[in-house]
Amino acid sequence: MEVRLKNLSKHFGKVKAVNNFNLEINDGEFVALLGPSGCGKTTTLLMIAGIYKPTAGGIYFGDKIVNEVLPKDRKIGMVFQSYALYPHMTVFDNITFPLKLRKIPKEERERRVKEVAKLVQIEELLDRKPAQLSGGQQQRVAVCRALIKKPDILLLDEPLSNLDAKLRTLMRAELKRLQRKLGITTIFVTHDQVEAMTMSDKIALLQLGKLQQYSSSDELYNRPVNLFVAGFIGSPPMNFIDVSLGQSEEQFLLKNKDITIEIPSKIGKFTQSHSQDNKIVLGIRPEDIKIDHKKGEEAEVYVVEPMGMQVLVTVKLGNLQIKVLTTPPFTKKMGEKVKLHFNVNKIHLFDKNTEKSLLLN
Amino acid sequence: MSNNFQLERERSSLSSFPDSKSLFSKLKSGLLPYAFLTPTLIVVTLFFFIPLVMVFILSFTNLDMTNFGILKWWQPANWTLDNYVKIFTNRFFPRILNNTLMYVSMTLIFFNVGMALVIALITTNINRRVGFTFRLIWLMCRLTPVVVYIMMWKALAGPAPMGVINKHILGPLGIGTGEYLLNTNPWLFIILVNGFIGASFGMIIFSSAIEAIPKDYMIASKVDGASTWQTIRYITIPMIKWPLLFVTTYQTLSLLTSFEQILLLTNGGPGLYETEVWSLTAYHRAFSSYFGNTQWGYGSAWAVILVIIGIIMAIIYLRVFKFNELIQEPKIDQL
Repeated sequence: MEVRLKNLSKHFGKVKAVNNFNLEINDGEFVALLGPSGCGKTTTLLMIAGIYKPTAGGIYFGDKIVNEVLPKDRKIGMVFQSYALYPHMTVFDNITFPLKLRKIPKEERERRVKEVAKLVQIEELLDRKPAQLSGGQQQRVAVCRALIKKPDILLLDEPLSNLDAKLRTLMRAELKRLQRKLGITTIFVTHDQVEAMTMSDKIALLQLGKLQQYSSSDELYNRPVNLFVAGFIGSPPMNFIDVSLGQSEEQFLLKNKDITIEIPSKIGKFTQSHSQDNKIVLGIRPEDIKIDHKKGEEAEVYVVEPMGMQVLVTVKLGNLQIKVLTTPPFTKKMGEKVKLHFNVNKIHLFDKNTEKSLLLN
Repeated sequence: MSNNFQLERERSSLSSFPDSKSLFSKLKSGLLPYAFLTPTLIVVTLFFFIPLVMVFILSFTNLDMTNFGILKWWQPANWTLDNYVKIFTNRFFPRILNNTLMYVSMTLIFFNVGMALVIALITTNINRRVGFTFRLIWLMCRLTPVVVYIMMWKALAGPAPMGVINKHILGPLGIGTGEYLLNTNPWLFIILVNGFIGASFGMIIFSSAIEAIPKDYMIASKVDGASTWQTIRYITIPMIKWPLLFVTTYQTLSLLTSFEQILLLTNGGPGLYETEVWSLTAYHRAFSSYFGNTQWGYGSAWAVILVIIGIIMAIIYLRVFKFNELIQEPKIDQL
């Protein structure tokens, strides 16, 4: 089922929780709504579920507008962060609750429970009560309850947040496989960029009720449209440095009082024509800076944080603190001098006033 | 300097713990909790426990105003079962029993639990502020002193033109205007008057219990396809089972023993024993028999049976609601 949000808004009093949100989700796609808390992602999900009514705009399932359709008639399944398993019912009763409400005969209920329970391997738990299950098991039960109705759309509200780190990685992969296998259009709310990037086909990144960027995780990472997207996606986050663009002969230089970086003339010209008042923010990811090169900007090692596979080094360049991701072994100590080499093909440039990317569009 | 001081403190606190614990300090720590309890224990013993035992003993004697000071009621030789025989062979016993059962069950079903639950469900499903205001208004009759409240009802039930109900409701409907409604429909008024106050208690307990149910359950049941009624039946009510048990039990017991509203409203009348309930009988026998003959022993016997009925009812409720299943074993070990 395709889902389209058209100029969708939701206001709570004066607060604009969701503001003019447009989104198109194709049939069978796995889309993540990503953003910090309070960005309107859960509000959007609850509007799609039919719990909240939009203040303005429309929600379309296929070609049909569903603004006025009751949740029970929307053919949706939902999994909650808290799982919301009814504590007084057994696992079996929990899963079959949607079928019971539709007066589906008991034999069919039993048959369909076996089907979905097999899918997520909880066949032995059907007689238990939710309180007797572990977090991971509860989550599987919640998924079962959402799937047993054979929904057209699956809504997941932070389904992995209550699991421990190890289980989360496991469930991440399992949920992704399950979604591919069943081909159900899935909308997934999360504040965790790793979850969003690993699981979904496309990510809608929201902030303060507004859509910032809607694209694949690759695109989001490599071609962020504005400063917020650039800063939100990626861990450790991108380095931002205030610079201005200068030109001497055919050389384009990004400068401030601590650094001078030469950039390719193509990028330089493009930036020059787009920048209004030459106040530019240079963004560069920690992995796009090389350390200990023969030539480059001289900097002082500030903190070294080994992370096993990589080493995160914070260096001081004048007043600037820059994070650099490098591979071990890294032998320099705090206070020692290193040289930095910026990979100028991987830089991002943003207008300081509009916060928009100067390299895209 | 400050370091030294700290060390000293640590050393001294170490030395008193744990191996050098003397017999005295052991005794002290063992008795200390009881020392704190003593004032309460004294009050409870003096004003509750001793009277309870006395009432129990009195119920086996014929102590009344005529033999007060003469009868040695505390001597077992003076104890008989006469009072109990008298109760069960009383000509009006079936009537009083019947009155009590009707009064308790009707008030409980229609108001103290029934209407309380309905109000709680409605006021938690509408606009929060409106619901809150409605509950606040409903609480007003509980805030009014009971005597004033009953006097108001008596005035309301009066014949036209004074009685508001007769003049403005029954009159225009053509159902008669001249009669004192407490004489024609005493039970209706007793149940209404008690119920309006009684429902507010359950209302508060139920509505706070309903509002404490996490929102996710409600959303989940809506998404699962439940109508409002189905959500109430399958989710809300099972989740407030514990407050339901509590209110039912508590209100049964308080209705069984409450008589002040009936005393003020009809005093057991208007006909002979027409609205006399068990607890009112106990009061009447013990404190206000005719000719100044207050039969303390006989009244106590009525009261004792009432207490036994109350205990039996409470046990039945705990069984019916499967109290043991409501209490889950704690997951952590006890420290």
